[in-house]
Amino acid sequence: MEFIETVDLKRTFGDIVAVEDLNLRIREGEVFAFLGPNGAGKTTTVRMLTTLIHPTSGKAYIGGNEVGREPDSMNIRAMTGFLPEAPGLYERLSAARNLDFYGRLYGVPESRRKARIEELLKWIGLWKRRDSPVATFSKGMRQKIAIVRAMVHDPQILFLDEPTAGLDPSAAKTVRDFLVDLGSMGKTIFLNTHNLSEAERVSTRIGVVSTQLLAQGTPKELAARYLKPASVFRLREATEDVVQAVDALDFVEEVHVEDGELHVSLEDPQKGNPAIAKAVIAAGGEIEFIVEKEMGLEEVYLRLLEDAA
Amino acid sequence: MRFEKAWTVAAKEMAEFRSNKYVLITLLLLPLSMAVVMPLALVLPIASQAPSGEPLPLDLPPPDMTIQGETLVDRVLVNASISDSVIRGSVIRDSRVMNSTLVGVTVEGSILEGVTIKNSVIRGSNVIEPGEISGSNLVNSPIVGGESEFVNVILLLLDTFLLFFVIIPAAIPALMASYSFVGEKLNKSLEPLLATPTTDGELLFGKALAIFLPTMGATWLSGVIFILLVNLLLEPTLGFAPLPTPTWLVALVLLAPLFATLSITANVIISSRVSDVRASQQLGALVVLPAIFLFMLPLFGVITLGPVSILGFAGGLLGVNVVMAFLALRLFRREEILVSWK
Repeated sequence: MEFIETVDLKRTFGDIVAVEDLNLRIREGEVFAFLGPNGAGKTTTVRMLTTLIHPTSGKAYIGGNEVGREPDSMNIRAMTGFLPEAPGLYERLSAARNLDFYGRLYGVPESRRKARIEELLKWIGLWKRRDSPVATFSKGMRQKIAIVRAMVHDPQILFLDEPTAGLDPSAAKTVRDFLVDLGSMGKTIFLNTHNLSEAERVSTRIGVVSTQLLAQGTPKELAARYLKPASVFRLREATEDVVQAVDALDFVEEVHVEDGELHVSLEDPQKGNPAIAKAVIAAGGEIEFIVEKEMGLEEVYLRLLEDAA
Repeated sequence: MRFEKAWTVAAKEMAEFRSNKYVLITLLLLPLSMAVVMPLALVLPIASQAPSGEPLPLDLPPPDMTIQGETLVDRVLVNASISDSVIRGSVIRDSRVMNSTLVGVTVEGSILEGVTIKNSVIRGSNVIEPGEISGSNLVNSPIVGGESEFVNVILLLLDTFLLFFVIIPAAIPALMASYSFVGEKLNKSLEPLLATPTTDGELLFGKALAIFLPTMGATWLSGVIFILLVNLLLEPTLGFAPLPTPTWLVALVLLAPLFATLSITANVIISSRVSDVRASQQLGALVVLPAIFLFMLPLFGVITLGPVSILGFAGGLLGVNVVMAFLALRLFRREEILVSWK
C-alpha cells in the first residue's frame, strides 16, 4: 500500500521552479532516501509533504490524506514527525521540557507522555541529562533530541531533512546508526540527504532528484538500470597494445585504464572475460587478477546528474 | 480554538521568558522602579511640604515692634509684628508676619499668614493660607488652610502619573514579542512548531497570552505598590488615602489591558515583517505613542482626564484592538514566514 504518493507535484517561487513533475510512491515501512544536490528541491518537497507550504500544482497524499486540504492537512501533521534541517530546539529549556512541549502539542496524554519521554531519552542515552538546558548540549546531542522530538507522538511516518548536515564525522555516525535503528523499527521514513553513503546505508529505496525525479529504486536496481557491467583487469603493465587489443573485441563496449587497471565495459562479463584475457595475453600483457567492477551509488548519482544537466 | 493547545504554547513561552534575563529585568525592573522611585522622588517632597492639618501650638508674646509697609533687607527680626512688607535676606524669629513677601529669609517659631514665600527656609512655624510658595523648604511647618486647592493639585499630579502605568503595558510587549516571534525565527524553531497539529490562531493566542499575563501582572503589581506607597506618604498630611480614584481604577483595570493587547497585536504584525530583534523592539516601542497622546489631550484642554473620558477612549481602543487582532491573524501566514524568513 502506498503511504506517500505524489502526482505531478510542482512548486515554484516566482520564476524559479523548485520541484517539477514529482511522482513518488512510497510504501508503508519503507526507508526512502531522497537524494540530490543542494537546491535540488528536497527541502521544498518535504515542506510540501509536511503541509508547511502548498504545492503550486499537482497533488500529494499522506496515508490517504490530501496535502493542502483541511482537515486532511491537520491529520497529516498529527500522523507525521518532522526533523527540519536545523534542530530548532528551545535552547533555554531542558531536553525533557522540549519533548514535553511537543508531546502536548501532538496531544499525547500526560501518563503516556512521561513514559514516552523517558523511553526516548533513555534510548538516545540522554536520560541523565534530561533537566539540562539544551544550550549545554553538543551538536550531535541536539540533533538526537531533535530526532526523538519528531517521534514523541510515535508517528506513522518520519520526515528527516538532512539529519547529519553540519555534524562532525563522529556525531554524523551516531545519528546514522540511530537512523538504522529507526528503520529496523518498521517506521516509514522519508530521508532528505545529499550524502550518498548515508542514503545507501540507511535506506531501502532511493529517489534521485534535481528539481525533477531522475530515478528511483534500490541502489542495485539503479546500478543495473543506469550502469553497464564492467570487469577490472589488474595487469603488471597496461600498455597501449593491450588496450588496442581489448578494444578491438566486438562485444567490448568501452575500455579505459584507471590507476594501472584495465576497466572494460561489456554486456556479459561471465561470457566475455575469457576472450578478453586471451587478447590481453596475446598482446603481451600479464594478468595479476580479474574482478567484477563494483557499481556504487556514486556512479549512478553522478551519471544521473550529468545526464540531467 | 483549542484552549489547551494555546495554553501549552503560552506555558512554554513563559518558561522561556523566565530563563531570559533581559526579559526578566524589563519585566521586573521597569515597573517596580516606576512604582517605587516615582513616589519617593516626586511624591515625598510634596508630602514634606503638605499641610499637616494641625497647626503647631505657638503661643507668641505681645510684639516688641510693629512693622508695616516696609522693605527690610539683611535684618534680624525677633518678636515682631510685620504686615504688608517685603523682607529679603533676613532672619525672623517668634514673630507674626501678615500679607508680606519673604525672599531668602530664614523663619523660626513664627506665624505666617497670607505670605508669599520664595527661596526661604521655614522651621517650626504655622503657614496659614499662603500665597505662592517656591524654592523653599518647610520643615515641621504645617500649611493651615487652602487645603482643597492643595489636594486638587495633588490629585491632578497623581492622575498624570497614570501615564506611566499605561506606558508600562504598552512598552513591555514590544520587548517580549520581539523575543517571542523574532526569537523563534532566529532560533529556527518555527518550522517544527508549524509542523505540529496546531492552528495559527492557537499559536498566536498562546504567544499573546504568554506576553499579556506577565505584562499585566507586572503592571498591576507595580500599580498596587505605587498606590500603597503614595497612600503611606500622603495620608498623614492629607488626612485620607488619595488612591485609587475612579480614574485610576478605570485606567488600571480597563485601559492598561487594552494598551497591552494593542501592543501585542501590533508587535505580532511588526515581528512577522522584520527579522531582527532590535528592529522589532524599536518599531514595537512606537505603540506607546497613543498612550502619550491620550495624556497630552488634557494638557491642551481637549478633554478632562476622568473615568468617563477614559471609558470613551477605552471603547475606541477596544475597536482598534479587534481590527488589529484580525489583521495579526491574517498577516501571520505560515507559508510566507517560512519562505521569506532567512
